[in-house]
Amino acid sequence: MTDRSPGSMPAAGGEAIPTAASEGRAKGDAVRGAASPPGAGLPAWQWALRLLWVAIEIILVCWFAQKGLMFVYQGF
Amino acid sequence: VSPASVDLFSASFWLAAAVAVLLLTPLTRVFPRQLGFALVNVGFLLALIKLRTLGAIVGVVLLHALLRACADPKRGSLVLRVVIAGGVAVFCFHKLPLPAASAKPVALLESMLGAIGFSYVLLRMVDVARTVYAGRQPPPGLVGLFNYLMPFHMLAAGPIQAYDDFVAGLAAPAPAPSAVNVLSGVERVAFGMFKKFVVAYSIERLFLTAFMADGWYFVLEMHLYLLWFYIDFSAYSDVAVGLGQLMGVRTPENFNRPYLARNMIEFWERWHITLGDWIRRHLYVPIQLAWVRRTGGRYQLGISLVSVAAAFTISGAWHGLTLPFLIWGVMHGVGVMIATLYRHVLTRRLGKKGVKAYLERPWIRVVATFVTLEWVAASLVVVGWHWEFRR
Repeated sequence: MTDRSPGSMPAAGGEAIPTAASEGRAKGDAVRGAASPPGAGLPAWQWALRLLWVAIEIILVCWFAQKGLMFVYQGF
Repeated sequence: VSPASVDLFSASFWLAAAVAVLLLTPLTRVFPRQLGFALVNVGFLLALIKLRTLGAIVGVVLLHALLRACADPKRGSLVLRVVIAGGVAVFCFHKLPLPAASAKPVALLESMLGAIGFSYVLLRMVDVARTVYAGRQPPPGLVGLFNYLMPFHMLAAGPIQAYDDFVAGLAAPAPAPSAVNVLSGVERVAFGMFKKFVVAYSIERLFLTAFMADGWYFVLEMHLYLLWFYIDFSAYSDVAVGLGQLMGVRTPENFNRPYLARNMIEFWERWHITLGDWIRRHLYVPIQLAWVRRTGGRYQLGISLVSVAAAFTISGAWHGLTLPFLIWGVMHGVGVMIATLYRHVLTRRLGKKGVKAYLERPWIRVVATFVTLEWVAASLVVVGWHWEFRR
């Protein structure tokens, strides 16, 4: 297959134009590449703590969906 | 016709998520993985918009045929233009308000476009069409194209995955399910839900007035709106990335602490990263190359600035075909132009090493971050302002 992408073409004069906007590509790629989850070989208490926090978050989400904010309003 | 959109609190979304997470790994052994994911995506759309899903499938079949023609060296250029022009026409139809007395088929089409998040589908369409036309990838199969255009977990608010990245994900072996991976994915989804439905919701309900207040509260609200916008928007990405991790479907990150950016160029490398990438690949670079060819390589800085302005104005129009979004796009374009120009002037005066040393000074970092943040906050006021209340 031939590469017809504009990004692969050099600018006139044979040299790609260095632009500030293009400099971020490497950084963005680095961000996407860093997806491996931390925590391999986690001790049991850390597992428990993380699961507890997840449970608290989900309970709060459900509670807010039903009546949570009204309670906060009344508090004011 | 009742309007439909992807709601993170809807039963159909979580049912699709649960089915996808539970079945995709076992399905890997029965079906090809892509077919399993396509069944989940179609099932989700059927639950959301019922028989209107057929409209989405017909659209994908049509695009599939056009993409095959896109790869043809003789007709490719013309077909690419047809795909982009057709996509933009449908986008305008979708974004512009419908007359009250529209025919039922028109209303059905509009509700289908809203449900699949056509704004994002258009960007994916352009990406796959230009990638195939450029010859970097062969035309996709029907199932792969459907999964690329309408993955249920990325319909609500992106990310906008590049087609190259999607293909790389297909080539990679299906990840082995592990407890750590599952915990990490569940944490990400729960954190996204917490951010959206607890933190962002509280800020909105307790503090935001759509800029109805004046004086010091206006300044406070400007910054709370900035905070709310990031928390609310990035929450969608958290849910999408977390679900992607649980399903073993590659889903790109979309945010990287954007409010720590020192200028507007860096901001777009950290905020809605996949859109920033898309703007660079499909607007900025092509516009710049067209001007370079026309001018024979002269006026490089000027061309770069004009390309930035054009790219961000179009980006503003993509966000909404309204004056506030156009102003927002122009403001971001101006911000990137100023940053480009400033960096150019600094490099000429201090040299590359001098610029690096200058940018690393702590007070420069603080001032630059503050100015960038305020510029973004001002741009968000334009779109957050409750225009109809102020008229």
